[in-house]
Amino acid sequence: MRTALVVGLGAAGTFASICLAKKGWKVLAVGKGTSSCAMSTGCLDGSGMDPECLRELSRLFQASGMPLVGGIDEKRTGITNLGTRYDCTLSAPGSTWVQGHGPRSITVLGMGKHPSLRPNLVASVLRSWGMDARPQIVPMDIPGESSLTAAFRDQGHLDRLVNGIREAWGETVLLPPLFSLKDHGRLDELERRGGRRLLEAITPLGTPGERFHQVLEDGAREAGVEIWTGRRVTALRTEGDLITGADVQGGLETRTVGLDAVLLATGGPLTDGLLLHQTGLDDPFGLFLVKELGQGPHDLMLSGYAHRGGRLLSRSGTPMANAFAAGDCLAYSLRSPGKGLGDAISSAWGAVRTMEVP
Amino acid sequence: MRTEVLVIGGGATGAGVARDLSLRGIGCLLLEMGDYCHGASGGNHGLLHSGGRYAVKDPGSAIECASENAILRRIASFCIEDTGGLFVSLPCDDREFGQRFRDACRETGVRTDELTIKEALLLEPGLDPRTRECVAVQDGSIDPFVLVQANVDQARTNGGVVHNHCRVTGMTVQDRLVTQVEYLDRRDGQKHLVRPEVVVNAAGSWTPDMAAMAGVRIDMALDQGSMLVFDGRLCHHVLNRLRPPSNGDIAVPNHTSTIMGTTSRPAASYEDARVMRSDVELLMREANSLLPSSSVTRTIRTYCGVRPLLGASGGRDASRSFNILNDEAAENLLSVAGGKLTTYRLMAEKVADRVCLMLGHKGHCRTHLEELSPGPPSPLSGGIGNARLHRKHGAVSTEMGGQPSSVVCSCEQVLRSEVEHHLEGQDVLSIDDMMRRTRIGMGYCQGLDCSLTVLDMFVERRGVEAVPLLEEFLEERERGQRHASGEQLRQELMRWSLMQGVYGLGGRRR
Repeated sequence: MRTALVVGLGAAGTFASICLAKKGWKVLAVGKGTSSCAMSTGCLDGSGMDPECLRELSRLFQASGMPLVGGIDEKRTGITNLGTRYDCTLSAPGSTWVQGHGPRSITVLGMGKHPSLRPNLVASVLRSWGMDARPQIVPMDIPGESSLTAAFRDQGHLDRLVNGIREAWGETVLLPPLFSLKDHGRLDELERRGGRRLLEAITPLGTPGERFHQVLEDGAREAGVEIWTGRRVTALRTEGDLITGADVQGGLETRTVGLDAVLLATGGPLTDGLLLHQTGLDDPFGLFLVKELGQGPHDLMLSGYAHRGGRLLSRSGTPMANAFAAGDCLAYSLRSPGKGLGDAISSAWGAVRTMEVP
Repeated sequence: MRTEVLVIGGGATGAGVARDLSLRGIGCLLLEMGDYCHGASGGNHGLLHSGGRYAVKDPGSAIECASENAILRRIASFCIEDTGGLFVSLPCDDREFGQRFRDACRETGVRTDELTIKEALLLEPGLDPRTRECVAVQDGSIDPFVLVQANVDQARTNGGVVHNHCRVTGMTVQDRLVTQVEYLDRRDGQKHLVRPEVVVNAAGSWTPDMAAMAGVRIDMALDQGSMLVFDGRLCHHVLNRLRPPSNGDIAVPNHTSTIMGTTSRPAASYEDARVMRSDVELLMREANSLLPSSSVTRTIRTYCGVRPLLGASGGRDASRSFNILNDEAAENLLSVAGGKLTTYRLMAEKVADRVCLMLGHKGHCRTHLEELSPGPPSPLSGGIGNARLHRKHGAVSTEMGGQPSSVVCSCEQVLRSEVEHHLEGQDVLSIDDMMRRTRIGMGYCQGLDCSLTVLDMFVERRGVEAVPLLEEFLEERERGQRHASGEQLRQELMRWSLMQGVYGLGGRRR
């Protein structure tokens, strides 16, 4: 059985690990820290995605109990926790609508003074783009720094919220994300008890991203991927154009693992490749060619590993035999901010297909 | 009270003049186009000079600085941190300068104390251990925003009227007198007229523009200076290089950061305020030689100011002193040129004296006697936020303190009650205005989350349109991140992805 080392436990790394494991690879996935996937909105722009890739992704979400809604080109819209419009094609249920079928009147519901959803602000921004919106605050005492998902496991909070929803105005109620992946079904229950359509605000840096990440991680474990969290690949060993092993550091211990292929999914800009007081990128392994695109600091988002036919290039520009990459660590000539999640999934799918070719 | 005097410009000088006139019982109106300190009064180190820096080349300024330093410590102790200052000589610095410096300080009355290298390194363990000489002076760290606001507040208490966000748009001159001044108020978007007897033009870099409205030509050299903000306090004292004043030779510990500066290049206009990559590289290099640990310290942002200097030549050789100009084309227009933050009160006193002369008023200056804030304050209990408030505002802080648990900006420990306090006043119209007063959005994340909380409070209390207010703030913060590097660059990319990718705000749209 061939062994693949996947570096990075974000959307690209985890999804690629699942696909590789299903294709018969023995997969070791290593990563450290919080991925940008877990900080994302959990919504995707799936335009241009391979239908087979979407089917695989949808299967994972179906199995998690929180199926994805939308499709490759289905234009959907949601409302961010600032009140601005957010467009995508795939999202968690209850957070977007098919364009043209959105609510006309909406109550924005804040959970006491919790900063997850600021009703005055959101309602005012919604009104500025023509939505009939009103703010309402459900009296609750949840400290600003504590998570809502923990607070709403409490039945008392939930009952107070149901009353708030009943007292709300208009056809739809906008809420902050309240439920983790495990509890997501409770949104339906809340909708039934409150008697009004509920819409979850598109929220970065919180629960939706964590849920997305959880679906992928559960899928990877299910597929038999060995996951090492909190560890870092410090060096890759080479013989000519072949990567043969990797040094993996965790705590005080460093282990060397043998491998048949490596897939880098370290996110962008290259983790550890951005040194203090430097503004450019470098490959932290000192092996691969990095391509810088654009001029300004924000153009770094476009920069990353150069590749040819899916294979990473050595510093001299020749393709490596068994080194691949996916997601934000690759150089893209075109990328819009906020669309990285769809790119990550698609490029992971593409990388796995390249790896199948002997 | 009648508007006898119109003061144009709400920097340190203008606010100082308004305070001085009000204390003398003269009715005045101050108009500031942006927020207070919007020009050079905000775009500086926040250094309370001992005078040492100017002792050799500009003894007049040194003498002024030394006496004003002592006065400010007395009247504005709440916004001054008595860090003390050190002049240090590194192996690459000219050895002979040290003696010239000591002689000049003696002649100008700038107090100095000799330190052995061992003493210096005990006081400042972060200094380059190869330091060869060290002289202690009375420098301090000052918060210009708090200082100027306190001047504004005291002017108001004594009957003065002060408006920020009011831009002067025109002047009418009849019989060689400015008879009428027109201004645009951002609050109502309307033009208003005022008919003062005397006009004080304290518009800093904009002074020539204002004078031109009255048909008066003023030559002023504009000089751009860049600063680099390091995370945390790398030194306890203000550190100066013991060498002739040049680029990147001062480090000032300021609140939660260390400010390294400055550079000097001629600016084409006050809008020519861009920080160059080369400025950043120079400041980084100089910081590394003075404080070696800066090479492993994160930088938060860059900012700059445009100095309005006397005369047409400018640069490092221009005097940092000031001048009051009066032209026969507009006899009741006094223009203030040059000067610096440390001597703002003295400038204001001289201007107010001239105004009194013109009005035939017999009032005497009291600004060196009256404290700027009622003291002594009793510290508020509980939390870093309250302790910080007390340190910064003195007795006034009791009006701003609150529940320590309600922190709106966790980077800078800003309390909700502090934001509420400023929302009740008339001066804060934007998130930027709030930032200058509270430091929200000045930390690592540059307002990623707290800007939304503050925006919510604006909407709730003022019913303003939210998105333009947020975009104005984002634009200002983004300017300081143009040269972000390393960890801060990574943070900036996240902030930018979020604001643009999720909310569709800020920066260029692809």
